Amino acid sequence: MMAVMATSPPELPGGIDLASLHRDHYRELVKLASFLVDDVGRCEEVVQEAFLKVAARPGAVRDPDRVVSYLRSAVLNGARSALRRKDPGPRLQVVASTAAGPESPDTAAARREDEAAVLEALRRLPERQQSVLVLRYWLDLPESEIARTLGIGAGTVKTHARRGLEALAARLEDHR
Amino acid sequence: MTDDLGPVEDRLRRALTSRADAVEPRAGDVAVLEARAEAARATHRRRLTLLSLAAALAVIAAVAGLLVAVSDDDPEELATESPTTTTAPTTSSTTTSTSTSTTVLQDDGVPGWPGATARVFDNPGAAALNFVTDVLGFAEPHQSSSEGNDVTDASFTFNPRPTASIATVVDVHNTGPIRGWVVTGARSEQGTIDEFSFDGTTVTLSGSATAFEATVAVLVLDQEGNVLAESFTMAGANGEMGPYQTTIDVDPGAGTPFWVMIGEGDASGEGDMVWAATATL
Repeated sequence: MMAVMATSPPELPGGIDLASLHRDHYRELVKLASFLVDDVGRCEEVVQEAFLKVAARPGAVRDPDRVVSYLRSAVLNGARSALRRKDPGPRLQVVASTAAGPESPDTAAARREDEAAVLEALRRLPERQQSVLVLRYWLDLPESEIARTLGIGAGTVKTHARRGLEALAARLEDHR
Repeated sequence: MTDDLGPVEDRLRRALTSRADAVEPRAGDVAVLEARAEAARATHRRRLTLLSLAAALAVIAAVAGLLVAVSDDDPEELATESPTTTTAPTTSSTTTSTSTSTTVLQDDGVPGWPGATARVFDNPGAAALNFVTDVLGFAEPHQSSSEGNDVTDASFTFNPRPTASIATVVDVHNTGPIRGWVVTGARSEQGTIDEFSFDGTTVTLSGSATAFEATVAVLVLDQEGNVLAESFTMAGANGEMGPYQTTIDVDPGAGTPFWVMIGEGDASGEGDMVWAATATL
């Protein structure tokens, strides 16, 4: 966007340096975006923009403990914005899980189909419910951290989680 | 959660884990990130320097006016008719502005730039030109057209450089002899603010825009053009308009927010913006 100038280490809150933050959280954040956006390249762009927001305006996040929460929030918002402004891209490509043990081709196919159905149903939930479920069931974040990330109360997190799961169950029931 | 939702929880965990395992990001380039961040910070610093300089000049003008009034031994006289002429340093336009030494102006309720400061523009072109120079930071503002009249309202179209095709239209209004002409807003075909709201701490806005690398700057300014908050959002690129929706937090102690502005940073680094659009909060 702008001319590249001589670089200097950005001063992030609490002495956090950008390179370490990037090294420790970049992969996790791309995966987080991938729950909403299929195209991994687009996910990488979203994450890069989130880091840029933190690096370009370090004063925006004063509490060092909140930097990662801020990044997660920026990635979720950025992923949804990416979905709104562009075509959704190819349908979700579910590949064989590396965690899968020996299983028959039929079993593997059924599992992949179920996983695709679950993610498709997840993406049809309201935005807040999506975010709460991903942060809770993938990152295993406690309610207090989810609340901080999304800027909502802990009680609201519980409500969104329950409603999200109920809606997910209903959509998956319809899918059967 | 509960027993009846337990199976759904298990399926959700499996699906999320499987999806995450299947995604293998390329290594992110932190050097590029740091360079882009530094460029963004440099633009912010340039804008603050420009605004500080403008503020210092305003103070000097006010002090000088006060000394003139004292030396005339006539404390009742407020505004002297000793105009100072200012011309944008790099502009190809010949428009000039006139400033009086009056330091306190009446609040006529008209939202516009500048606010109640010592700067008074007695012609519409000067108000528009100084706005694109001082607030938007156009590198070489070139006035390509104008509409309206020299009595109440007018609009001036500026390119950031004489060779640039993109443009920003600046709307100005005449508030009368005391405050003079003020800028009431800016608009551009490159971007629009369609909806916005402000709850005292957070501005929420949406619209559509196109910008280099789809990166649109978002700013909240006070009535003097000081930046109270700055952020980025993503919209369209390569001339294609794309929707955006974003929020920007304003420090409650930062002053009174006045404008929310979107625009595109100047990739050459010579100016701050190449186009801008505003909405009045």
